[in-house]
Amino acid sequence: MSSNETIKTPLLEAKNITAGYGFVDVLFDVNIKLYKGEFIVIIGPNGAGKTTLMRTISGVINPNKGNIIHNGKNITGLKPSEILTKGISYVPQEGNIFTDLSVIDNLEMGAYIYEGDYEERLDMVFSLFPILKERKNQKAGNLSGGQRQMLAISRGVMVNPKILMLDEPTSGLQPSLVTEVLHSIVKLKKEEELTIIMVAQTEKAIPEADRGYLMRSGEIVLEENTDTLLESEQISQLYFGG
Amino acid sequence: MIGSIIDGIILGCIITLGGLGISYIVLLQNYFNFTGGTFFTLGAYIAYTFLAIIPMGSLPFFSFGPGLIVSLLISMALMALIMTVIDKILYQPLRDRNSPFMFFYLTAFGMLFVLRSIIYLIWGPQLKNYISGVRENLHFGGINISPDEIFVVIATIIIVAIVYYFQYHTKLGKAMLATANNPRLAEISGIKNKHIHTTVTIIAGILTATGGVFYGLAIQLRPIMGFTLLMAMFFAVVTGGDGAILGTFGAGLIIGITQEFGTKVLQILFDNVGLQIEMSGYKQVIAFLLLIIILTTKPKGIFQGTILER
Repeated sequence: MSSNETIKTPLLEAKNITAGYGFVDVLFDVNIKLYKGEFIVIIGPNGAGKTTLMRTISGVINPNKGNIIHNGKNITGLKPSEILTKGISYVPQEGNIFTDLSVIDNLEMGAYIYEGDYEERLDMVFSLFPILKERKNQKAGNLSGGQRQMLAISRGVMVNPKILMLDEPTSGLQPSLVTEVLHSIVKLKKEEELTIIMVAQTEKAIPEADRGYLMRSGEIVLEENTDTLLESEQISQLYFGG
Repeated sequence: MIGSIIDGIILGCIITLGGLGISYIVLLQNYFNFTGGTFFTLGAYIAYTFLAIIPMGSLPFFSFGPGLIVSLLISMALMALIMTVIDKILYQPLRDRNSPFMFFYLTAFGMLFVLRSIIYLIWGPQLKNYISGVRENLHFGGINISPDEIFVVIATIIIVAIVYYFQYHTKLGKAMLATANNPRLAEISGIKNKHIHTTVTIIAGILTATGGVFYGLAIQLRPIMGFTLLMAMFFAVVTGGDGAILGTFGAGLIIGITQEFGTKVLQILFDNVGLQIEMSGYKQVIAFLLLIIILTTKPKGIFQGTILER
């Protein structure tokens, strides 16, 4: 196989995904591809199906149609704990920390199946978010919104994943914190050689990514590199109403 | 009077063990298992049956021998197995279907009657004892206590310490707390919820069997022994705080002492005013009244913000 072909083989692919809750479908024939080392964003208005797509890939819900392919293997229908063993770590938008546990116990649970050097992962996370080290014995439920998001991301990377899936990690944060969290994610990607798929509410996330997908009403309506995406009329309409 | 406090401490230890068994189920599955008291009884009777096969032997100081310890260990293993099988057959399908909690309560209520019938069928309604004959009591400062009762108290303290260490200082214990707190995130973090439920049921089985055997050792075996302690166990679980080990122990001691000391005080009071009431038959009423008072004044437990919160 030539190096060119290797580059073109997606690390993760959602193929013709139709999924939803109960008898109601929310996603309709969705296709996305994620290549090794890439950072992609999925954007779209509320109710577009972004979170449902993330839940489907991470195994929280099973698709009614279509397949999830990882490294050429079909991983559709695997449980979230099994998906994690493939190196795919998911950080949900809500309920993303164990509120009754301390910060340090949250991180330990993030590394529950990790067989490498736990202390090394802890040092990495604490160097990225020093505030978590200061608050390590504090109950996670007592952290501020920004600290909670930092902890949620940290929990997700404690297992040393290959792919990190982030669902609106900047949701509800003040603008200065949004920038700080986004910079941390970019730093993580570089230092940990991560492949990232992120659902974003803010247009600030787009320039940080390599490519983006725009979702609307459960469908992918646009797929572009970020420069083109930023200039797109549909993005202007979404964020600026223009 | 001091004697009734000592009796209360012994009863409190037994209530704690039964309560912890129930508490683990409440923590993970969020419902009160009415069968907890009957499992407690079954554990005691299983040990009684094995004690008929295994020679008791003798131990210095105590009236029981190694045979009881071996029977207790067998009872622990069998109760863990029985409770796990019942959980897999009856409760796992309910959890898989996200059934309403009423279904769990009805199932537990039904199992209570099934198990109680089995106990009556196999062992009959007669009172039974692990040890025949009169036990030697130790006397100091007006207190009478048997070495067996001292064993129950010390063993309970050791068991509570082990369970506490397991829950708060081991990876599996923390995974249990994580699953109780946020099951979906736990699954996403690689914690297999079904394994955690099985672990919890096994621990509950071990603790329940121990509580039952300790009751049989300190008092005697009766087919309704667990049922009569059920209200006190619920008190320990509710007022001790959700899944709190030390809290359940503290609350267990409070209700044990209140039941024993309270009935004694009220008995003297009623005798003095000429009311012919036998207070020993109303211990559960005291537990219930105290539970209502705590529920209305401290619904999140009496130890919140204290060292006994965990």
